[in-house]
Amino acid sequence: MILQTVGLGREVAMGDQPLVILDDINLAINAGESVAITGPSGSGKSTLLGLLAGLDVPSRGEVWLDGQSLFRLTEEGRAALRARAVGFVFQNFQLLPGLTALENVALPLELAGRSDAMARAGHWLGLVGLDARRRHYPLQLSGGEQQRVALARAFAGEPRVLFADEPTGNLDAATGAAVIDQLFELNAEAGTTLILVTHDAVLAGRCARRIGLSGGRLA
Amino acid sequence: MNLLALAWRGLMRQWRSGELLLAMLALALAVAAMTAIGVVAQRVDDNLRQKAGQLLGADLVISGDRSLPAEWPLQARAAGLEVTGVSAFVSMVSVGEQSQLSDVRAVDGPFPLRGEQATGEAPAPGEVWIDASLARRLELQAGDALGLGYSTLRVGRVLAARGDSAFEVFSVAPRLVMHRADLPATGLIAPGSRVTWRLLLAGPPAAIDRVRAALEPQLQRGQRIQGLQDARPEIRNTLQRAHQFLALTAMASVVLAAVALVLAARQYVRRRVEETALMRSWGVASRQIVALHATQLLMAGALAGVVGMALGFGLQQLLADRLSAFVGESLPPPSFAPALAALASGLLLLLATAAPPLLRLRGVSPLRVLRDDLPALGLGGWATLALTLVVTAALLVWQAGEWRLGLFSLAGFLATLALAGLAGAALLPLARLARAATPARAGSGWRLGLAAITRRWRDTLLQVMVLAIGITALLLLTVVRDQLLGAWQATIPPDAPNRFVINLTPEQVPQLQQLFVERGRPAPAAYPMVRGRLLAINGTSIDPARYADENTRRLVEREFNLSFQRDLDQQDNRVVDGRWWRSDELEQPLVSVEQGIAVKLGLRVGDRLRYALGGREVEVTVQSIRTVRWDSFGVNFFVVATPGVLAGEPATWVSSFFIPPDQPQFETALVRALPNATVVNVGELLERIRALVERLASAVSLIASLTLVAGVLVVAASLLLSQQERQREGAILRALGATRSQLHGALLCEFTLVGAIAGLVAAAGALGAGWLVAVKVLDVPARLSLAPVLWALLLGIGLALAGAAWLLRSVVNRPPMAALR
Repeated sequence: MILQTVGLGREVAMGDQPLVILDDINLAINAGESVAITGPSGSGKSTLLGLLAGLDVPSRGEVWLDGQSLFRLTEEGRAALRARAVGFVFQNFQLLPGLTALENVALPLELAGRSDAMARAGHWLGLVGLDARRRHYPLQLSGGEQQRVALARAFAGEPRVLFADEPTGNLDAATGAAVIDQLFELNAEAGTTLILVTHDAVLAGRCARRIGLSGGRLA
Repeated sequence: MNLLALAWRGLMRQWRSGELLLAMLALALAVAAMTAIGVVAQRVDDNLRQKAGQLLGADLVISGDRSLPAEWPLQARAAGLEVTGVSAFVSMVSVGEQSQLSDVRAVDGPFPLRGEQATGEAPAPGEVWIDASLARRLELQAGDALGLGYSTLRVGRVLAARGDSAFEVFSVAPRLVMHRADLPATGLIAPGSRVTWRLLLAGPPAAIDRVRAALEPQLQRGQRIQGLQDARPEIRNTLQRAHQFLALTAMASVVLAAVALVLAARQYVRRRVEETALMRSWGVASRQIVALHATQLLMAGALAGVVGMALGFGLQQLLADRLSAFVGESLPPPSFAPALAALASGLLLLLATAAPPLLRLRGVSPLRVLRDDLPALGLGGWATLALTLVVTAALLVWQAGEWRLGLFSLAGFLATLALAGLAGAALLPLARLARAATPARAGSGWRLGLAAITRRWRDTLLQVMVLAIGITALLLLTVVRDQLLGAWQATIPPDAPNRFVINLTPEQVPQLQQLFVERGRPAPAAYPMVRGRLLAINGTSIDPARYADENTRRLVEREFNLSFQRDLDQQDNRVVDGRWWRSDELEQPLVSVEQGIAVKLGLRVGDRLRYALGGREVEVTVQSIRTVRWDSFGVNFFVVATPGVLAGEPATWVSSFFIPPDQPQFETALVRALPNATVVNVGELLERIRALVERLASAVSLIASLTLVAGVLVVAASLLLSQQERQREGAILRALGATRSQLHGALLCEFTLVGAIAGLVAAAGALGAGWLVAVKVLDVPARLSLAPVLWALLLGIGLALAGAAWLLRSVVNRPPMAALR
C-alpha cells in the first residue's frame, strides 16, 4: 500500500459555524494502481487531492504516503517527501512563466540536487514530443503543449505517486484526449501510482478504480 | 447611487483588507514631516521678528554717520509713526577717580520704542538712565551724579540687564541714555567726532512699509535702513541653514511618499480592473466608477493627512523644545496655516500619483467578464511620472523655501533614478550570464534567485529604483548633516581664543602683555586698529550701487578697521599674490588686502586705493593679496597697511587670547588693570554655538527617523506589487519539493543583489547631490568620505532583506494549496 487515509476531515471557519468540506475519509491505494476521484463540483475532490499530496493540512485524521505519516512531518519534511516521491499535473498547468520549457522540466530535478537535471529534462521533453520547443517560454506554447511540458515535469522526477488535478479541465476535447493518452502511456511505462481528480466520466473510466465523493464523504 | 456612502463603505472594506494601509501611512508621514517643519519654521520666524524689534528698539531704524535730514522725522510723523532721534557714541563716564567706557544714547523722544524696556518715556533733561552693569562698576544708584564730558548729570533710573542673547555679546559697553538737549553742554560732539545718528520709527506695518519705500531711495553713502527682517543676519543665516536642512529631511519624506503613492495607486487600480469590468457589465457608467474610486482615495488621503497633521503637531513641539534653547526663550504659539498647507500638499501629491492610473479605468471593457485573455490594462505610467515629477518638484521648491535647494535635490533624485534604471537594466544580462555560468548542482537557491531576477526583471528594475531613491533620501540627510556639522564645528577649534580685549590704548599694550608674562604665559599679540573709509579705487569714486552683492555694498558704505603691521602674521595669513613689504618699504604707502574682499571689490595687486582717515585722505597701493583663516578666532584684518601709512593716526589696540575657564581671577585682574578697555567673553558664545549644533543634530535625527520609516514603507509597497505572483511561484516550488532553505537562498540571492546595486547607486546619487547642496546652497565646504558608500550598501541590503524576510513569511508559511488555488 502506498497511500492510506484514516478518518481524514477538513473544515474551514465560515463566520461562527465551521463548514465541513471533507468528513471521515478512509481509503487505501496500492502501488501502481490508477485511481480516479470523482464527484460533482464542490464535493471536495481537489481538497482531498491537496491533503493526499501534503499540500494542505487536515482538521483531523491522518494520511500515510510511501510509509510516512504526512502530518507528523513538518512542512519541510513534507516538501522533502514530495521532492522524492510525488509528481503533479495541475488543471492550470502551473508552469513558471519566466522559465523555458526545458528549465521548467528541470526545475524539480535541480531542486532535488540532481546533476543530470538538464539532460533528463531534455529526454522527457523528447518523450512528450516537444523536443523542438525546449527553448520556448510557456506563453509561446499552446494549452496542450503547456500541459505536455507539465507531464514531462511530473514524470522526469520518477515519482512513486502522480497526482493529477483535472488535467484536461483547461483543454478542448481533442487536445485533452491526446494529453490523457500520453499521460496513461507514460504512466504504464513508469509503473507510477496515478491518482486523478476529475468530473469527466470518460476519463475516470480509464482508471482501474473509481472513488466517488459527495458532500465531502465517500459515496 | 449615493456616491459618498458607497465610497465610504468601499473604503472601510479596503481598510479591513489592509490594502490602502501602506499608502496612507506614507502620506501621513510626509504630511507630518511637512507640518512639523512648517510650523516650527513659522514659530522661529515669529520669535526672530519679536526679538528683532526688541534689539532694534523700533520697527525701523535709519542710521547714518552724519546727522540725518531734518525733514525725515517730519515725514515719518505725518505718516502716523512714532519717531525718536538718537545720537549714539562711545564715551568715558566718570565718578570721582573711577571711569568706565559707556555706550551713550542721546535721545529726543521716548526710548526705546519697542521691546521690554519701552516705557514711552525719555530721560528728563539733566537726567540719565544707566545699565545695571554700569551702575555696578561705578557703584552708582538712582539720584547719584556722574560726569560725562564737561557736564554733571543725575542718575534717574537704573535699567535692568538687556536681553542676554548670545549674539548681543559684541555690543560691548554698558549703555547710558540721556536727553539730547544736554548734549551740547557736554562738549563731546565736535566736528570729526565718531557719532552715529539714528531715527527710531515705530507704528503700523503698512505705514512702516510706506515710509521705508519713500526714504530708501534717498539714502546717501554711510546711511542705512534696518527693518525687522534685516536684523541679526548671523543668527538668521544659521537658522536659515538649519531650516533648509530640516526642509531637506521633509523633502526626503515627500519624495518617498510620492514613490509609495505611485506604487500603491498602480496596485489599487490594477486590482479594480475586474470589479470595474463587472460593474460595467451591469451598466454602471465608467464616469461613475472613476468618481467612486476618486472619492474613496480622497477620503483615504484626507484621513491620512489629518492623522499626519496631528502627528506633525506633536513633532513640532519636540523640535521647538530643542530649538528654543538656541533662540533663548520659549517660542511663540504655533499657527495652523503651515499645517493646512502641508495637508493640501499631501492631497495634491495623492492626486498627481493616483489620477492618471485611475482615469485609465474608463477604458476597461465589460468584455473582460467573459474573456480573461485581454491584454493587461495600461496604467498611464508616463503621465503618472510626468505629473508626479511636476508636483514633487513644486513641493520640493516650496519646502526648501528657495528654488536652488529644491531643484538640486530633485536633480539628485532624478539622476539617481536614471542611474538606478541603468544599473537595474544591466542586472538582467548579468543575472543571465551568472546563471548560465553556474553548474546545476551549485546550490539551486542561487540559481533560483538569479532566475527570479530575469523572470521578473521589470519588478526587479522597479525595486532597484525605489530602493535607490529611498536610500538616496536617507543618505543625503547624513551626508549633508555631516558636512553641516563639520563646517560648524571646524569654526570652533577647542583652544580658540575665548576673550577679546578692545579699546586698549597704546600704553596699555605692554601692560597687558606683562600680565601674561608674570603668570608664565606667552604674551598675546596686540594689533592697532584705525578706522577709515574707502573713497576711490584707481581714482574712481566708490559707488555702492555698482555692487550687486548686498554685503559688498554694506562693506563700502561703512568704515573699515584698518591695521598696520611690520611683519606678516604667519599663523593665520598667507600671501597668495604679490609680496609682503620688505623692511626698507615700511614707510611707503602700501597695503595688503584679504582675498575674499579683494574678489568682492575686484582688487588686484598694483591697484590704488584712496582712504579717508580722520581728517585726511591717503592713497595707498595694493602690494599683496592674502588668505586669512577667519575661523581661528584670532584678530585679523581685511586691510593691513605699512606702519608708515597709519602711524600718525589715533589708534586703539585689540588683542585676543585664551583664558582657561578655571581661572576667573585672571580675568578679574585684567579688568582691574585695564579699566577703560573692554574684555569680551566669546567663550560663552562658542559654548552656545556648540550646544546649538548638538540641539540641531538631535532635531534633525528626529525628522530623519520619520524618513527612515517612510523608506521601509516604500520597500514594502514595491514588494506588494509582486507578492501574489511570488506566492504562487513559491507554492509551485513547494509542491515540486523545494525546501525552505532553497526558497530562502533564492530570495537571499535576489534581494542581496537588488539591495547592493540600489545601495551603490544611492551612494553615488547622495554624494553628488550632497556635494551640490553643501557647496551651492548651504555654502559650506564639501567633505567627501567613503563611509556613506558603506552605509548605503548596508542599508540597501538590509532594507531589501527585511522586505524579503517579510515576503518569505507569506510565501513559505502558507500551505501551498492555498496559493495554487
